Amino acid sequence: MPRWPQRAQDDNDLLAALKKGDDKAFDQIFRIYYSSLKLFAFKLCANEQQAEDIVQECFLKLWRLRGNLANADNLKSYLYRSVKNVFLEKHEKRSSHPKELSHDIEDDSALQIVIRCETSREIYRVLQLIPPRMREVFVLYYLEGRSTREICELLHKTVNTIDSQRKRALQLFRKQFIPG
Amino acid sequence: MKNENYEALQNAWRTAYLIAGFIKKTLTIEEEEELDLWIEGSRENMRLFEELTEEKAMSDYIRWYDQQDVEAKLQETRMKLGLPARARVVSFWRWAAAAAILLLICGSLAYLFVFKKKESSMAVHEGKHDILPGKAYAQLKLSTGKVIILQSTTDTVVNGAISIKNGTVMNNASTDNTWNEIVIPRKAYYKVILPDGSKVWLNSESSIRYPSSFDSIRTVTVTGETFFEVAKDPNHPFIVSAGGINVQALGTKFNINAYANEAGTSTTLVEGSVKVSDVNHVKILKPAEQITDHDWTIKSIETAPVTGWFKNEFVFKATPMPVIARMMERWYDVHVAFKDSIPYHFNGTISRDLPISQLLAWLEETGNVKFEMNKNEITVLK
Repeated sequence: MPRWPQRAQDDNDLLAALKKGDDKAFDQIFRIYYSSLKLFAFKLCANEQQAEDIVQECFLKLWRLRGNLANADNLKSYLYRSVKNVFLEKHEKRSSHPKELSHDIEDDSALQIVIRCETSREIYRVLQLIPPRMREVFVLYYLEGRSTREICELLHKTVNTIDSQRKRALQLFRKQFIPG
Repeated sequence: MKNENYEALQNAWRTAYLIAGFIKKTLTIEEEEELDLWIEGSRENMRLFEELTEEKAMSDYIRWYDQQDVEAKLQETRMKLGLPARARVVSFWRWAAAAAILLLICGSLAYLFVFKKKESSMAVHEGKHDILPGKAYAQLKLSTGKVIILQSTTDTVVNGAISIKNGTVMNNASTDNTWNEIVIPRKAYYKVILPDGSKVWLNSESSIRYPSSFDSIRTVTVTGETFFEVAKDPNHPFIVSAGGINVQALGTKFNINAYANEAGTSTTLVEGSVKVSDVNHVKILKPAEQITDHDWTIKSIETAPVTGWFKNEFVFKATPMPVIARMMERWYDVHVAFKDSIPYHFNGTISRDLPISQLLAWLEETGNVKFEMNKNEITVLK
């Protein structure tokens, strides 16, 4: 079963491959981080189209500047920071008072957004590894707090089916745990 | 990268790891203590922790992640970088599901990706004979028997209650108790604002019948495909009657597809809540759920492919060719015949405001379907 790289070590490997011009590594990085970076950009600019443009620009830069990434020792930090920088550039171009905005990534508020993005990315990553049917039960039960009875009605399944799917999903969910 | 900023971000990664671990219930005792320390560190930390671990919060994020078309965006980005297009990598379970279907039908099935393009490079169908897309057009039938033809340019006052502006039929509440009907032929669409302020978009080959003023219950009857944005009014339930089912709403947005040549009448909820019923069933939908009256099973779906039409787009997501063919028939008023069956599903978004040649060429770009066009007859080939 393919498993998304999670540990910093995997990120380092991807970064090293990227620097050598491996576009497969680029694809991997894109798949791992695109959605959460877009979420970050979206929380900064509150516009989905703009968020997409910002993140795409970051990935264009990542590939074009791959030779000069020598000091990007941490891929994740580099990417989030890149999103913030592109956002600021775009914002300054439009705004006549660029100084009014201080979305520095080390701001408490920006760091909180980063924590939201990374927590949800990890939960989503793990959920991808649960079969869709079980995943549905899992989300309804553990993340939405619905009762087994409600889920039975929603999915037209018996209590036994729901219970066993829920338990198996939980096992799978925990098994995906990789120490960071 | 500045070193002094490094630590703040490293701490953020660690916190995210701890909160995710808390949700997964995989933390060690030491890690739990570390998390507790962080939570107690500030009120903001406490609030953030509560927010992320609150029931439903994470499921909202998951829905958001589900909606992202990462592969399409990746291909688009690769294109901009001049990197060669790559075949899609399908996640294991999707692959397993596809494999299961493959075994079932013993045929070949593949998902093809067509990417959004501003302009398509076309040669095949251009020039000789083309078919233009649908446009704003409707017939307004008044209870007096009078029929008025509406187009996007018709800005007129029909009577004290009805006026036409910007391709929309506007109804003011009136005192007389009559019914009006708006009929949309093939190759057309129209929009109407009902006496209570609710908005309705009508797709081709569709109709709506509504009273000139609403009673305590707001009732309308529709055929074909309609998208509703119901004005909030808890005291006056809004009921849409379509192909043998009733859809009851308060203030919500939903799509009803009741075309006679589709598999049953399907209701898709975008926002709010609706009750769908017939004589034997009653079901309540949540946003991003769909129900069809042939099996009455609630499915979680992505709404964009269903509602794309009212934004004047064709949105395909694993859409089989026969479904696309029926859309073309209604929108371009053509007849589509299959010489070969096409075992592929199509993905992509394209404007509806293009001549048919562009849509056909765009689909042909996948290399998995071909079209022949003879006047209003389209033939589908392998």
